[in-house]
Amino acid sequence: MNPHATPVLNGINPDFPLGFIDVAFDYVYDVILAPNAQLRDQTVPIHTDSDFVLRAVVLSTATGAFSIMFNDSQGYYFSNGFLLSANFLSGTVPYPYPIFQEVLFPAGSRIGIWINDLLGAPNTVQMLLRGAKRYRLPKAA
Amino acid sequence: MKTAEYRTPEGYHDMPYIHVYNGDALTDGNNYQNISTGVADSSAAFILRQVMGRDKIAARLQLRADYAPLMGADFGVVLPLTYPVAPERFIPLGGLLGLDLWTVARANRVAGPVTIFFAQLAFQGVRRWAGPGTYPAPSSYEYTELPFVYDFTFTVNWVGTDPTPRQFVIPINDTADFELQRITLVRTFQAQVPTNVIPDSELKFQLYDNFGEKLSNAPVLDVYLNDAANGATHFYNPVFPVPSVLYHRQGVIVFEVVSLLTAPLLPSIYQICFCGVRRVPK
Repeated sequence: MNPHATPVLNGINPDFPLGFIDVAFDYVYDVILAPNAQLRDQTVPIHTDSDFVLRAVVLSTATGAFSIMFNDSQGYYFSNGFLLSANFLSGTVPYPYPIFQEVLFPAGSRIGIWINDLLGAPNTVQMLLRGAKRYRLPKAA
Repeated sequence: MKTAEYRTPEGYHDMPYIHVYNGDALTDGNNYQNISTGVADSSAAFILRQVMGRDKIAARLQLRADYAPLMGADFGVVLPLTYPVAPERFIPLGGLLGLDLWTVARANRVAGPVTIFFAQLAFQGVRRWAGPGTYPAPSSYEYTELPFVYDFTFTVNWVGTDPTPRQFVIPINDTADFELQRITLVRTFQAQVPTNVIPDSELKFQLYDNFGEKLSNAPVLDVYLNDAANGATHFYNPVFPVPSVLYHRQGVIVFEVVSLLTAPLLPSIYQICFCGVRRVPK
């Protein structure tokens, strides 16, 4: 392996359970927040073809500051309060925000979002919910 | 995720590779669907591990493997400068990676009536070949590794409207093989003025391995290869090549340079460093 390179560039051995295969996939959350809007119970539906393993959140773009809280389809919140959007930046550069341990969303469920505008002006936000689709392999005959 | 050392599957070997897609001929402001990225290999599988340069070509994009989208977005994604793909994406022999683009905006450099475009997306990973072999190649002797840099200074005195690449050769006049692990590039002189800056899309490079095999399908923008960084600049966090490449002793490092400079920026002088380890015979 090349000691200067990231684990991704050196290749990461698959770690999915026996009988499954993970395929890299991002669910995308797009929203245009009205000034000082507070949007509760936003959802990103999980496709019905496979479960989804959430491993990181990336802020693709935002006009300005906002705060956000995520929950799963059982209503379990991943934080006790709102995360400021600066948590997803390193200086001004978007930086992956790892979700560890990874969270499994069953096929057909949803990722819940509660998001508040802090800009006081129209705020265009796109977030990547990064992870992998976990497909079930056909059983051997 | 596991952090154990990665192993290429039994019976295969991997070669570091960058597939690039050049969008210089697109029209600014337009949307495009299902265009080929250039990741369509008829002789080897391709393992995609990193995508760089969305900002060079369009406001949003969507990638498609066999027409299935890699991201669940109806109108594309504002990808970060560097987009790691984990788990890595396997594009089979004869496979295809497609691309949708929204609001094309081609990166360019203007001087008077001349516009030089460098709207390039880079798909970094490895080509996977069936059959025995290893990358980097083994040496024919026992050795210890010591860090080493082959540095080389060259002058670019032709404008970007001239598409002909210029070839440079660095001889390995040594008793030790050299394993290349990363590349850095700094501009030291421009238009009669001394400089010390990390160039931003001023050149493209075509690299070759020890056997003369190309390490990309077309010349690659400097920012997708350059691992140099300072407090303000580290554009895409690239490391190339991964896995590293072996150049045998008494062999040569060959590379070609394409200029993206305009006439007022000439001449420009660059120092390129090929960083790695010497395999010193025991």
